[in-house]
Amino acid sequence: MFPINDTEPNRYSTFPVMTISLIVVNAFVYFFLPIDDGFIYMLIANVPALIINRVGGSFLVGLASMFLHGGFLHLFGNMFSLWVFGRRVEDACGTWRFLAFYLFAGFASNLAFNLVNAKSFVPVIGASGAAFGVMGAYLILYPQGRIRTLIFWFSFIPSWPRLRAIWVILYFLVMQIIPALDVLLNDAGGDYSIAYWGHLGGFFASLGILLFLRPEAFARYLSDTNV
Amino acid sequence: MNSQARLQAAIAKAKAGHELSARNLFLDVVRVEPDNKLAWLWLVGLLDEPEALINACENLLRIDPTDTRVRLRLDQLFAAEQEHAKLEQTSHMLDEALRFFAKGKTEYGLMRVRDLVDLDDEHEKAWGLLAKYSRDLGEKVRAMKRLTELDPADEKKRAILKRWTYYQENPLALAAFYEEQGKPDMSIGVYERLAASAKDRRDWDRIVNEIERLEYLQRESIAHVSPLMSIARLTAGMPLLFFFLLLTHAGYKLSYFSLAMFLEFLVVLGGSFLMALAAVGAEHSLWRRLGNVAGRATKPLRMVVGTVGFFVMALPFLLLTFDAFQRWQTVFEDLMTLADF
Repeated sequence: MFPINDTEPNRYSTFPVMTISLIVVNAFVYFFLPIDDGFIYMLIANVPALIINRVGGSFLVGLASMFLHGGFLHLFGNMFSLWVFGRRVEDACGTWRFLAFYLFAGFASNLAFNLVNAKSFVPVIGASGAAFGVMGAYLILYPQGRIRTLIFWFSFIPSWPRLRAIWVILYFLVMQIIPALDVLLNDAGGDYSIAYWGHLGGFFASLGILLFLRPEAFARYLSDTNV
Repeated sequence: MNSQARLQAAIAKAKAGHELSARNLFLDVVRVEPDNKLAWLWLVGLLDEPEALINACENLLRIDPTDTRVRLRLDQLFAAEQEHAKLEQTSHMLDEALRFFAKGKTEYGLMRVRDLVDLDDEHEKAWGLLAKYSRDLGEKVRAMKRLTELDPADEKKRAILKRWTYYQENPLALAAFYEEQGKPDMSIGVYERLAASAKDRRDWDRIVNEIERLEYLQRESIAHVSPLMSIARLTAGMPLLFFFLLLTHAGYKLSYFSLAMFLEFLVVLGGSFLMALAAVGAEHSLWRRLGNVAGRATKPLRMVVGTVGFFVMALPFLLLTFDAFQRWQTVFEDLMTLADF
């Protein structure tokens, strides 16, 4: 299942400036500032044990991590979900408040990951925590929104139905919860190369979206109409 | 007892302070001798009822039409009588108006109050009701102006008058104010009046867009969110983000939080509040302190306060970034030690 487009139009603005800017910056960092040496990640990326022990650049490495990606597919997946879900969330917040929310979700994601993997020296990178935050915000604001989703039935028959956002996002959430529980209960953080707790941290931080909405969008949210 | 003796007895009783029996004796005298001027004069001093007093004065003038003092007294009595009748009428009208207002029939109440101020231009309560309930800002201003004339020492009323006059001169601010108060119909009313006097096509389009937006909100039955709530909500976002940065900086241990961090947090809160205030732009005492009589934010004022808020808020972020940047070097020194540990 791969979300490819949000089929609903914007309400307040015409162009998602910040969503596009974030995608451009992430792509720029990936393509023009490539990091070949894995040790450098220890210095500039979010390493739980270093953060917990107050060593290194504290939140600056967390910020840097949000713009680093380990491979093209990593970047592509994160940026695509940011595009699909970020456009209308930005519309409801406004440009700069959306950036603040994006960073807030990213730091909340780091918080959850670092606390669960407190002793880990494995650096974690990627915008997925923040992207999950945006996804959660989308679920809060537009649960009935329709997402064009690419599905491969039996792994090879493609279809692209418009699915309710709630089902698409719940699917991704469930995909995180099972391994996340494994990490927590069996201390199996080292077995996974994906920061599931980071994703969940970002997702639950999405509740904070209500503090970043523009007044009219918030009034619509309270009125239970389309934000 | 003849009437002369009765008159003497009545005068003696009146002088002795027995007013009631003296009055009865004088009345007996004038009943027998309707032209007895002395008896009527004493009666004017002893009678209480306005009607009886007027009757006594009229009899005195009948006997001696040249008596100017009696004529003056009679004029005073007539004036007092008229005043009394007016008071009764206004009191009745006021009661009626209050009953209408209590029942929610504001228009009927306003009609009574308007009649009342036409009848009695100095009726403070009626002007007050007109100022309170009228939906026409021009009428509200007129009522408040009259109230300040009647009580020039009242600073509160003077301030309200200034505020309303500002809205009268700035109808766009008035429309925004009504919207903030959750009264889109009144806001639409203001815009409709503005549309009628639009300067050009562009101005007209802008106003019509606003009307359409408000009508759309009405159709959707969008809940009214008070500006205070919006300001509080928008203020909270950035301090929360800053708190996460502080938390990360302190290694997620609250024991590492310092007083400086707390103060920085308060500064972010202050800056964020100013930015939220500028973003919402609703009526607030800060705008009044900055010179706007109605407590409203003008566009330049919002820009200034928003910019100040941004820089105030950004300062702790910069300080923390500087601190984090300095600490970044420790990773080179401590990485190996921690790996061993």
